[in-house]
Amino acid sequence: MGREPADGSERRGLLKLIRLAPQFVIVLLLIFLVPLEPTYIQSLATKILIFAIFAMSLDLLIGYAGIMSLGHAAFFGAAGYGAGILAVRYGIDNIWLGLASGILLATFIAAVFGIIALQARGIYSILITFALGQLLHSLATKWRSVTNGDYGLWGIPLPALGLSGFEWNGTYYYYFVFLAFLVCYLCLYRLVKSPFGKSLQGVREGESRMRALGYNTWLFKYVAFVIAGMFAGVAGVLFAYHSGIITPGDLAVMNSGFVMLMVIAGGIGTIYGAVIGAALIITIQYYASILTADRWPLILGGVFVLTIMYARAGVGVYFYSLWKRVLEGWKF
Amino acid sequence: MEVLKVEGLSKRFGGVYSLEDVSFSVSGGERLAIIGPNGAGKTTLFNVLAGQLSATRGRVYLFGQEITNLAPNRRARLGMARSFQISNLFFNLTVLDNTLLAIQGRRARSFQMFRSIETYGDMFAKAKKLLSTTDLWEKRNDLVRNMSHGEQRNLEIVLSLASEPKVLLLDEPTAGLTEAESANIFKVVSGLGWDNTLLFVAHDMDLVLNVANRIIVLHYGHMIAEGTPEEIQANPKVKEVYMGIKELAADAEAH
Amino acid sequence: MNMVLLNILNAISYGAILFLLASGFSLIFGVMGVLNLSHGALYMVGAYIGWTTAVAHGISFWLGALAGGLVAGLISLIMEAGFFRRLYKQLNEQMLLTFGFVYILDNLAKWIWGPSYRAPFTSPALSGSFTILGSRYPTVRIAIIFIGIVIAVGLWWLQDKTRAGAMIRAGMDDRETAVALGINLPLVATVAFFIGSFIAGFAGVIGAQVTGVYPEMSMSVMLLVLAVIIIGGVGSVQGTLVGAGILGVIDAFGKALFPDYAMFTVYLAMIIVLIVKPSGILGRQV
Repeated sequence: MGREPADGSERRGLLKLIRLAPQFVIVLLLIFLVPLEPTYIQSLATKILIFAIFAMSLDLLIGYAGIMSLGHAAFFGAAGYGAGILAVRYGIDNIWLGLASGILLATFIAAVFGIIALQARGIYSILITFALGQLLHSLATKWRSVTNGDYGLWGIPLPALGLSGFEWNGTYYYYFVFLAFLVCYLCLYRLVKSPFGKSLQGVREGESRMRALGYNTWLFKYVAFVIAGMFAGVAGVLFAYHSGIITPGDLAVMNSGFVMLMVIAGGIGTIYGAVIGAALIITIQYYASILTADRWPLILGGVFVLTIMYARAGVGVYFYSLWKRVLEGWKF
Repeated sequence: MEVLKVEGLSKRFGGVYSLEDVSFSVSGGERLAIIGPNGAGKTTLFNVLAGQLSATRGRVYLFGQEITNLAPNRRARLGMARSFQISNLFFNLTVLDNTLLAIQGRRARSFQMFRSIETYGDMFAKAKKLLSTTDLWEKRNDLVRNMSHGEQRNLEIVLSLASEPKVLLLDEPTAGLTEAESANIFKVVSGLGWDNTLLFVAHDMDLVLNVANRIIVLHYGHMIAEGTPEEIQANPKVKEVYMGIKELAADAEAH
Repeated sequence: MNMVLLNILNAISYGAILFLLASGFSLIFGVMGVLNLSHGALYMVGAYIGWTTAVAHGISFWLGALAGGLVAGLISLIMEAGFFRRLYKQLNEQMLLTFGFVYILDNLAKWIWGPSYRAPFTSPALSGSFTILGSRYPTVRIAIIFIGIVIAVGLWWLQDKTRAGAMIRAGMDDRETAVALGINLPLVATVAFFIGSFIAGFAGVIGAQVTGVYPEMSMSVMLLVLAVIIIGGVGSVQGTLVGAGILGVIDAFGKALFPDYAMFTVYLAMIIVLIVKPSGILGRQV
């Protein structure tokens, strides 16, 4: 789709709007419908949007850069701890400071881990991401004076916006998260369509050819790794404030696997897929945990296996291709 | 002007020397063909020159600068490009995406994160020009893995030309192509300007004799002859190597 | 007891368990190319089965160890036949599947055996201590060392001296040629997967003599497996031995010198190896 001559510019504008109809509808629902629902739905929606950011960041890594990482939750959890420690240990609950510290922490850790993880190739690279993730988990468990160990850092309040007289409640926080989600989505969307994003795909599809073409492929992978870590950090901070508690489990490999399931279920290599996957999996987890308080991981494991076996192209991708066919049918 | 110089190049895999003590130099604008029987080390030579493999011994100089241990992407930035004998394309991406990536390769622009790639009109214009020379512009939105072998080989050449290299290495550009397809490649290759230097590996003697102004013959990793096409054709050692193969083939047929 | 000797014995006995654990994983990865992240869960299941047999029902400890191995092996057969086989050659997907299995096995174990910790248990013959060089040392650990040696020798013999081992190594090196030579790779893969998982379950019972059993074991055990692989390299008995040995020494001396932070010496070792030789000390270049 290059610079082809337009055939009637108003129609092109309208066409674009129609193509984006599903997105518009979803955004409208998210803005207007959700706040009318009971609190638990709002909370669920908040959690979905948070994990959508988390999943999109992982998709940048595994779907676009082609780097398989089993330790992505490390950045998520570290940022959560960053914000949590500020709030609980130091009484600083300003949301901007919380976000800044969490994101900085996550980005710094990603910068360090990236160098180590990208040292190796193939299976060893994957193993190292696992080990690094667990390293942070161990740290969180052992460093009790700071992280409160296995009990988790609890008592994280909803953060202050810095506006005097402003009172938080769940709905306002939902809107804040929604805004953050929109910003992240747009950023990542632009990123993957940019020359950088295309180059990442090239590295994923044929690293040797990319090198022969003049690209410093290591640098591309490293930058992608750090950016992915940064966005995971955003999700982590938002999560900490939403849950009120952050535990070592949030850093663990199992959480990395959890978010990876979302990326796969939605469709690897598409930003919208991660969002749909997050919505799907969080919803399933929620209702499963209501169904059976103790056995829901069993259900989740089953969903995991079934998804990989039968739906690994991605549910999101399926819906997208359906929509495309509808458009074609209407000659759009 | 000496564009490429190779000194005492050797490459060993385990106990076998794929290349042994190869030395030659290439001047600007030359068309150098590298020929030899299968297994002579031609592709290995290209891999060492372009950086996919490291040399066991010897040195390589590009524009007077030593590049023996330089990474492939740095060599590309100095103006070297290559095509691969086995198509090394981005099979799950479109023809256009493949071409854009190749065009973008040497530029800092590849790190741009904020504008959509579709706004870079100049790259599209360049892609159109490149792909049109091989009739691939109409197929620009097709996935590479759905194309025919001939079309893939065409794209392989396009990618290596996209960065406007000063030194181009083509590894068996017409391998596995029909006569018509080979003729097209031939047309593209002979259309290159005289400020480009070309090295190519080929089995197709028509291509070699019509394009090359100098030939190097490799046999079991050694350089056994070097000279103009006429000199090579008259060279007894070369005849022996090729005749020997012809005789073996004739023998096999007889039985 | 002489501190150095004590630590050396601890290192060797711990290394023996690590070796048992990691050798199964390495075998599976080498032959099938799959990173079986549920390997640690199989170890845990084996340990629980062993506990049920030996402690809950008072039957022989050794039968428990055997049962642990068999159940783990059985589970692996189900995984392979029911799932891996259908995703032939899709290695990333197979690895992700094993993630799902961890969720399932972990939760099943919690359901059947409950969330509480089971104390270390062993055969009556092995309880008590042995006298070495004038000092007393737990018999259990000596037995572990002995078992580790036996299995290491057995695996090395299998790898280097038998036709089956040659077939396995051929499959690891070059699948296509192996198949072209008539080697029934799918069968080899299934057998290797079974053996590797059996050893994991068996090792679970053996290791339980020292560590006990608890539901959160699977991932912490998995990490140790990966540490051995990263340090020693994957694909050969020798590499696993080297990795397990080094890790055993690091852990024993780490626990002696900085008890709270012993885990981090392990991570440090991994990082150092990664920087110096990314494919592990005896690993092949991937």
